[in-house]
Amino acid sequence: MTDAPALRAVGLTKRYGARTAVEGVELTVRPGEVVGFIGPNGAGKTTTLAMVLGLIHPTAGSVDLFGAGGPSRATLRRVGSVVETPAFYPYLTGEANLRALAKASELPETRVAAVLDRVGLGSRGKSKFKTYSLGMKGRLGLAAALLGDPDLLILDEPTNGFDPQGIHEVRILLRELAGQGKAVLLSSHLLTEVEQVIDRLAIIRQGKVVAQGTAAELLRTDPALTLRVADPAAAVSALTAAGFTATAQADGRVRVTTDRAEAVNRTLAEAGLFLSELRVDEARLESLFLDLTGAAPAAGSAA
Amino acid sequence: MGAFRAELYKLRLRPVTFWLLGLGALFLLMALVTRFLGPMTTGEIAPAGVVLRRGIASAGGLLASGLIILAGSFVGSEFTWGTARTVVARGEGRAFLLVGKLGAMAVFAAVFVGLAVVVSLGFGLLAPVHLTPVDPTAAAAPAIIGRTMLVSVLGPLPYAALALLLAVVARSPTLATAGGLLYAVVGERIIGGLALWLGGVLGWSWLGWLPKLLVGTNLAALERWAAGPVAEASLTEAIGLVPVGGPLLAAVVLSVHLLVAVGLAVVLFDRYDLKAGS
Repeated sequence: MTDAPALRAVGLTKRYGARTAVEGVELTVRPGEVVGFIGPNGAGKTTTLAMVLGLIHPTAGSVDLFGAGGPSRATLRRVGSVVETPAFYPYLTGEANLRALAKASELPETRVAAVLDRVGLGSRGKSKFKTYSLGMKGRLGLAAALLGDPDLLILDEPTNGFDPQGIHEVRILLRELAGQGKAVLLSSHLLTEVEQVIDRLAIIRQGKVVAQGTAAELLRTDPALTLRVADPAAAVSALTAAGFTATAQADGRVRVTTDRAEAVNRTLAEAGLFLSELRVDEARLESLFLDLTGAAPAAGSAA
Repeated sequence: MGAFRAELYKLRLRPVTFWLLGLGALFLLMALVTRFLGPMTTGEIAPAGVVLRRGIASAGGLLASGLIILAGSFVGSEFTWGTARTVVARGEGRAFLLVGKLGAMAVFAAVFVGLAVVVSLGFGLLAPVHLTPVDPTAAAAPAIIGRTMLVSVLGPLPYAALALLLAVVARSPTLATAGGLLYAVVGERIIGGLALWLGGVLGWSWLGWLPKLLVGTNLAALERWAAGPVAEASLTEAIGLVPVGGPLLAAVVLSVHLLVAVGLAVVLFDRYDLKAGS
């Protein structure tokens, strides 16, 4: 029972008439890890999370929480969540909103002040929700998710509207929670916002998970060097003759599939070619994400 | 129980609750002034118990509208604000959520009737009403007033349940409130009148039974029972529908209305996909 994943989704599918929003999603989150659930807008992230939380009825597939079955009163009591825009009662203060949730969930209201402080809303807890900025609403959503001291946190774009300081604080908080053995599923369309905090990630595109694993597993590619010389064609010939795989690039550089920089340098020097630039190609998660999701680089980095 | 406590807490902090209580008290006072101090009633001798019972009975009528507004707003807003999603995602059963709201509204109804008692007593004491020094129905008065309070609290609940159902269907406080009020004020009379007329024209006797199944008809029957020996003609005639059967039958029919509306609301709510923004 203790070894059971906090969340296991199997073949999760949602269809709306002829349109398939999510198809066959497999997802596992274990205690103590932060899993990123990344995909462009409209990829099916929120629909998947809503099915996990029992907000949407799946067309097919199943969800298991803590090895204790699907979303139910018993299992969801161990889950804290923020699904898309945090929704609260506008006429209540932040504190009163949390008290109402605590009463509904039969949780001790003594945690209300602590979680407000934890998310940096301690001084604004007495203000009405309708007066909150977008970032403050997000913070209150996070406070609500933490209210029941959950074993699994499901956060959908939790830092939407946060300032850089707030984003940094959330990253620290999530790592702390993972350190305490909590499981975190973190959904975002911005890879750059989550890559610093996640242990594993699942990339979703058009309703399907197209890649899943640790960053190292996903970025497992052949090492490569990029170099610049006066005569790229001669460099390619010399390197090929020496047994390297080298190709001339459109920008005048040469790409060599190896991590033996010293040997490459020696080969070229012996051929009378001298380097003006040599760098190791680093496989980047963002490039992989963009390749897999087909998102344009500008949109992916600016959204 | 948690859902009920949470709903009660929100109701207590919601401005519309106090607007409805305030407006209800004001309208009740106006109804008492019109009834006992108006030009048509000059010089009338009114037993003290009648003033109180009349006030409570009027509160019941006002409460039906108040509860429709409250139910429509109370439930419909959960969809427009997206808070239904927040609550359900925390594992609260959808049925518990709706039943908790209905329970909170029953408490509101009790408070409303309590307020009516205070307003009626205050009116009886302070207004220049010609009260008889000894109430001729004194022996029966406590029972009559108790029955009137019961009917005033419970009678409007089927209307509240209807507004709750409409809110779940429409997912909007405005549509639910407007629909509920339209039905209670106009719809029932049209249905009742149409059924009676068509029954006569077509010779379909079963259509004659239709008005007797309506909420308003049975509420009127209960009000007649509550009024007891001092029943005022104007009270039952004002309903304009044919009272049917005894109080027990009327209570059963109202309970069925309540159960059907809440049951349908629960089933529909349970099947809804609470998508983001819904």
